Amino acid sequence: MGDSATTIIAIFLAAILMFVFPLMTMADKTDDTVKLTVQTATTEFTNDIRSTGLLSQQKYDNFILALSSTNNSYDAEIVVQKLDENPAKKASGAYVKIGDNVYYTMYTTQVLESLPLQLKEGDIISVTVKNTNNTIATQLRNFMFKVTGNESKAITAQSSGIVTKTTTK
Amino acid sequence: MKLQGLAIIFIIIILPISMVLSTYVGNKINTSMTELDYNTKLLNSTYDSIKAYQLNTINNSFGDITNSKISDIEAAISTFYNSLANNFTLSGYKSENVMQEYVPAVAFTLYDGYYIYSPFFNRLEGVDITTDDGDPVDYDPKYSSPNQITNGLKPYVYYSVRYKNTVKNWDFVITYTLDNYITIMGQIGLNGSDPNYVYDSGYLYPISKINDGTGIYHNTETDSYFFEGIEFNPSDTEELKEYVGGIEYPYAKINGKKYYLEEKNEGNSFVKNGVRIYTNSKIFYIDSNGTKNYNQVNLYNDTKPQDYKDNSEFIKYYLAIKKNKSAYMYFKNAYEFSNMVFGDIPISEYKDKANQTQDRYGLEHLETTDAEYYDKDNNKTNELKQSGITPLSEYGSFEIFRGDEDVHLAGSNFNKHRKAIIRYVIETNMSTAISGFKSNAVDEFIMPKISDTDWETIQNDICEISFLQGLNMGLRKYNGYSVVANMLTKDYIDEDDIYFLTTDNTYCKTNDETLNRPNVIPSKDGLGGLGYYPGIWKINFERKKFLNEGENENDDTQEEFYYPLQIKGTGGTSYLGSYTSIMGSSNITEIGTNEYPDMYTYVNKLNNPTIKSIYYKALARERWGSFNVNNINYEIYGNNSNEYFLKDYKW
Repeated sequence: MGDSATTIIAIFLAAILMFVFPLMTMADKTDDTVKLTVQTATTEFTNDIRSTGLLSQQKYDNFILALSSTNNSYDAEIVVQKLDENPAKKASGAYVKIGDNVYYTMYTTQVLESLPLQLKEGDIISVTVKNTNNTIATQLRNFMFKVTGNESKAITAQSSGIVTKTTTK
Repeated sequence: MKLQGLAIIFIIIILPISMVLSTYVGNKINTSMTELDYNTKLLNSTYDSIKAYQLNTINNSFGDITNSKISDIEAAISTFYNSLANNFTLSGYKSENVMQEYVPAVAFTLYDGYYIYSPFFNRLEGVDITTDDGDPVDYDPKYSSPNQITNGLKPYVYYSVRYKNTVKNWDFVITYTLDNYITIMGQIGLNGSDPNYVYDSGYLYPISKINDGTGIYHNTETDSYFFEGIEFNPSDTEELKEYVGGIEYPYAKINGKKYYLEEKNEGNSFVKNGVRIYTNSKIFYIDSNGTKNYNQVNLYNDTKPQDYKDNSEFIKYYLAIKKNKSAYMYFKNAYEFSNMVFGDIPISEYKDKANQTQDRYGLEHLETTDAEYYDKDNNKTNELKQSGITPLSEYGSFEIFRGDEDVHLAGSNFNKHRKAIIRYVIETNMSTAISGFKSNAVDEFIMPKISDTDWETIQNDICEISFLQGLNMGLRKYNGYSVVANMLTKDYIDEDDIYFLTTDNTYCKTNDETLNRPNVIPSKDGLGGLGYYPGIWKINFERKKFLNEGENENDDTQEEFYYPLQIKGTGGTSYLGSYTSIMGSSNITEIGTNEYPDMYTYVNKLNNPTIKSIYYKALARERWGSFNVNNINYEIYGNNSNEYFLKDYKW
């Protein structure tokens, strides 16, 4: 009797070790690779906008396409901070200009509504990507540990920087 | 064997495999992440460097002069190394030198050529220089170490190409720029049996024999020039005004420098060309230290006659400021030069920049195949391609100045060839500079492939290209580059850089759609005529600094900041940038599309004569007054570099 209990436990253990463990490792690795793809897409998207000053529909579509090629769904937040030099421009005198400039912010919906968005030197763009679905790795981890909350995302990427070129295009 | 045993053996086999695999994949991922990180760091440092260059040049009235430019560039490059070291958290003692191991070259592209900052062997050969004691100097003492590898700017490389055609007796060089300005030097045709040498430069525009709006048309009766239906008449003059501190002065921009007239409406005066000249007025410019400099233009000497050298020069400056006709002169010169290059309307008594009387150059059939760099040999072009250079033959063979109506437009053959030359000149020199770079970091440096978007920036803007190679990223070594355009440059007047003043005290871009509504000020006095004020070069909206030394000798010197364009009666309030095109971009029409490939096309399609007139007049005026090295011409104008401008204000 004792022997068969050990066998059952051994079979369970073997099943976990032979299937679930490799599956989890593989799923984790896939997530890592996906994360790389997402980070690459995000950084390239941001750097491209930074050096050309133009956020066009085509660039945005390509970015979303690159994200969805990973078979996950994402929430891509684009925040554009536009430099408003006007408050500093109102008067001239013997003061130093540094610190007088103001930024106003456009969030994702506003940005997408105003595509193609032409930016100028000094604007700041920031892109944050999070996945909205549960990847296999997250599902497995949730199943195994039952500890991760809903907000824990396996794949995130963030990139931001100052725009270096004013575009007329 | 029992099941447990099998399981253990399985684990023993699988575990190491999966560990090795995960480490490998992890490394790969880390490498790629590091690469992304380095790309961003390089871009940030390059931008810092451009920002430093802008700060140094914008307030410097001598910023166009080569010496000053070189020191500005060297300062910018020093910022680049510091910023790079900071970004890689290597700042501190000798941080610049640390990063120099990894930077094979930094290139600064300017209006008609570029500088490369890279290490070189500090030895002068074939020059005969001695010290005061008679010892030969065999190295450049500016860089301290003789016969050693030092970092520095290499000689300026022009965007130029040599054209040779033995049938037509052509052997000359054309230097291209970022716009439609070219310089021709060398032999064109024969003068009897001797070669005929030409040295000439100018802007290229199509030539039109009728006033139909497709090029510059010259009406010989009124001596007017028409471009796109807009008339430029010599009697159509303007008086430009700008603030320095809190006072408004009339001024003229001559060879990139602004000369302000401090007019005294009292004392001796006389009238010349319809202008009352007050002889105790003064003319000044803002010196590089920020003070008013009255020394360049001598005061009027009441005891001497009007044609006395100082006096006549004073009157010329006075007239140039009060009756500026830059826009007219720009199109007159463009018309004559373009006609000499590819037009067929004879220009009587035309003299080139070497003061030689010339007949037509007749380059309308100049082919790309005449260019020295054009290789018809397939082996050679393949060789070029392998080293990452795009051979000229890739662009095909065509007539460069095809006598059509589009030489100034983005889609023209000329523009295609101009861009090809710029790319070729940069690629060949850069790849040599980079592959010749030796350092402890990596054995062989190779020029990375620059993307087409970045080439577009290089061919149309002044920019900095930085290269970074050899940094360890784990599995590979880093090899990347970064291109950042300088959007605030005094070096040349871009077609996109003309802004408009509107009736609600704001300024906006030319391609702002709201501009087509009647909110443009037709001219400063509201009376029409040569629409000076509404069309303004964008640099004039930047804040400036000057040192106010006060009226009396005992006054303290005060640093003052001001905007050159202020709304009258507001005590220094400047015009504000429009939220539809300068600060934001909600109403901008895209330029660079199939419908509007360039600003000329956009302005013409607007079909609004007021905007057209303001735009062309502003563009022409700013270009005629901007710095150009060809304006300094000892052959024709002696040692006065402003004479090119002043000669048209004789009385």
